[in-house]
Amino acid sequence: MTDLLEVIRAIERRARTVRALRVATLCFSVSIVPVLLFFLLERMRIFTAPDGAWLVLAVLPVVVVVASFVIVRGMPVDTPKILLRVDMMLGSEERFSSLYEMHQQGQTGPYREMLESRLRDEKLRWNKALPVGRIALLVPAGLALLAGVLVTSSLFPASRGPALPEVPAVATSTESSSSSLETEGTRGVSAMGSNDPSSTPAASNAQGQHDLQDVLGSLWSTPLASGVISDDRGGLDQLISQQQQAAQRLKELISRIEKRLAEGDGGLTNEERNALSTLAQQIGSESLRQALQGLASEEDPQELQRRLQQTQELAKSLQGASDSSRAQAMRTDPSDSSHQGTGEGLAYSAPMPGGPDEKENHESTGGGAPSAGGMESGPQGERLQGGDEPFGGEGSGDASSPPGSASPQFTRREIVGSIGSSGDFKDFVTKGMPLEQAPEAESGSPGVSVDYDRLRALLSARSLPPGAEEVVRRYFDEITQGGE
Amino acid sequence: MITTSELEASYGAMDRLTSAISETIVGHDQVVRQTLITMLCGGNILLEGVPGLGKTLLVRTIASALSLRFSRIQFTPDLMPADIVGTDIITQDESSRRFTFSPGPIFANLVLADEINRATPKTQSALLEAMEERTVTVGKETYRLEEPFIVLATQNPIEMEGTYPLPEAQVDRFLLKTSLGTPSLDELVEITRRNTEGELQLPSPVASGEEVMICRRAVRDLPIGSELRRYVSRLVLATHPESEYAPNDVREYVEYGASPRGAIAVILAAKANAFLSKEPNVRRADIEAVFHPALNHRIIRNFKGDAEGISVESLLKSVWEKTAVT
Repeated sequence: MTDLLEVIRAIERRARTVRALRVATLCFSVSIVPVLLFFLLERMRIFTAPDGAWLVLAVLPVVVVVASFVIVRGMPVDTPKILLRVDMMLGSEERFSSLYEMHQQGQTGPYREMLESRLRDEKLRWNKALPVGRIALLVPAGLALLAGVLVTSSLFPASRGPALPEVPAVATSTESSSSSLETEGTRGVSAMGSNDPSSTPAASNAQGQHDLQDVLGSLWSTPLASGVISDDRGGLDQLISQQQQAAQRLKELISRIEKRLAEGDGGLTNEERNALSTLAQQIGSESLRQALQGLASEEDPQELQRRLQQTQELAKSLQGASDSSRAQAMRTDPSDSSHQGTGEGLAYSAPMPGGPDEKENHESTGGGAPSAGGMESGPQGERLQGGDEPFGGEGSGDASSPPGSASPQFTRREIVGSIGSSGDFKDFVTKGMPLEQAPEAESGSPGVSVDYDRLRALLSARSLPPGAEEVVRRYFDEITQGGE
Repeated sequence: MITTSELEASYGAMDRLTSAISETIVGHDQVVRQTLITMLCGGNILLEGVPGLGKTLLVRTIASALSLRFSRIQFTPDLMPADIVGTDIITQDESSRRFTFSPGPIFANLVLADEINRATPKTQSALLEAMEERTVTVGKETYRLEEPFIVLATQNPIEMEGTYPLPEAQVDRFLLKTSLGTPSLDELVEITRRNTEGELQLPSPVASGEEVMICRRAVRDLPIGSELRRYVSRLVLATHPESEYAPNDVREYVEYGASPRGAIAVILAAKANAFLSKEPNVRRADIEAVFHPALNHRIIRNFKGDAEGISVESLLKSVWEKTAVT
């Protein structure tokens, strides 16, 4: 009998546990609802949770679950009813409940012996009679999973959306494209950083840069707007590769010519002239192309030597600019809080072909600079939260504190050039960049500059609340559809 | 409290009794079982069926197998109560004359009240005290009936002209009410064979009245879980139209539900059913086995139920299906 009474006590314990588990899961399901509601309201920007609210909301379900479980587990159960339920589920012909009844009344006799004997013979697996229930487990588990996914996605925005694998690709692409462009002297890339006065230096800058990459990564993966960005990333990479190869061949050719001239051979051979002409056609930089064409047509050995040096210096200067900007881009110091610009980040300038070769600290965001026609077609009334100006709206930057002038570490460089025969510099501008029409360059050609620091500043200053990226992205999509 | 040996003896007696009955009675297994249940519970049973189905033979067989005193009362419209319970008659000896009580046929262990609905209500009511109290009062004297005392009443459901339906109070005193159906082909063949070849033999006594009383104790000692007891109570309450447990059709077609005596009958009969199955406890299956015969004569339909031909059986089925065990 002792063993059967132990079984009955074990059934009681299990019944209490199962009941407590069910109540706890029910409480959890109820308590997780405010968390999800809070989260959704905040994502929809209907409501902004105060500091500490998330902590309370995160702790609330746990506390509720633990408390309800402990309380309910300690409450007594209706043992006869539980035993009858066990009997019915096991098909034990109400023997557990009858035995318990006899035990409670202190009855002995032949019937009790028969009951015990039959219960022992049947070897019932009583623990199968009190299942927790799938619904009781699946519903809270599903809610918890949903909450976990939503909260996690808000904590790690890079993991959102289909552009997840594109984020590092964008950064790499930006770097490689700027590097190659500068090698060819067709593009200036400069790292420009400034701290948002309202944000903590290290964390916010790092987060801001991260968010920016997310935005750009997302933008890469969107359908392309005509005329603003290359619609073929493969083509872009191929173009960069071609430019790198041309630069390498130019370097080798100049070295070979120098060596031969140093040995006393005067003039260029026809083969060298043809090679220079071919390279001139391949090089995207207009100035370098002109220099190469001049070099190829030069007959005078002394003049040839001089042009050769000029060409070499030009190539080196472009190479140096490329290295410098790449290095700056790599070590952008987010802790530089002394800078009071409009934000920190990379600033790409993208003049149109035919513009000046190079222009240091060009204030593309200078006051009164007109926005490119297509660029200003974005939603005029749509301002990012806390922003000082809309993207591409009036085109009025903060002229009193140009990003490049605040810190020598952050330089703004604008290089005008063309790439290949078609020479669309804009092909290398990441889709969705806030482009502005730069003042006319010295050559008279119009230039389009990417006001990257404005983008960067605005994004980092707002620390990208959940859902903001989507707004930025939509905004970019709209302005880039307006034209080049 | 019943002992193990008494329990084993009871099981033995029941085995012998059922075996002896089956040698005489062909078919009617459920009726035989319910008759035995009634006997084990100390109750009375109302057998309903057309003439010639073997009702009387069944009662005589049981009486014969138990070596109990058996009496048969054929109820007729002119039957008087004194014809049942007995009367005081004047006896005269050498010195004096005095009234002495002459017991009626009710003074037996097994009483077959044949076609009980043919007697007047006054005569029918003569059975009330005997069936419930196990006593008979004649004049100023009350006489106790010998145990075991069982009334087995029959009534013919088709010849209703000139009959007096049993009053509700009397019907309620029957533990079970059961119907005898027409035998199957094989059973009918066997019945004709036994009754046309040789002489019909009633069984010899295989159990005594004392053994029946021990069996009754064994039945009452049989355990039933408190939740099952609550379940039976809910079932009985569900037959009342005003009850919260009542299903819709009960609310619509029932005038009066089963009395507490009905709940007692269900539990006692379930215990007896478990005992006959040699189970150590009452199961839900035992309750189900006796639910209809224990309650079907205790439900009184209202006018609407009568008019629409709603059977009590269907109402009880609804109650059984719609009442949760826990």
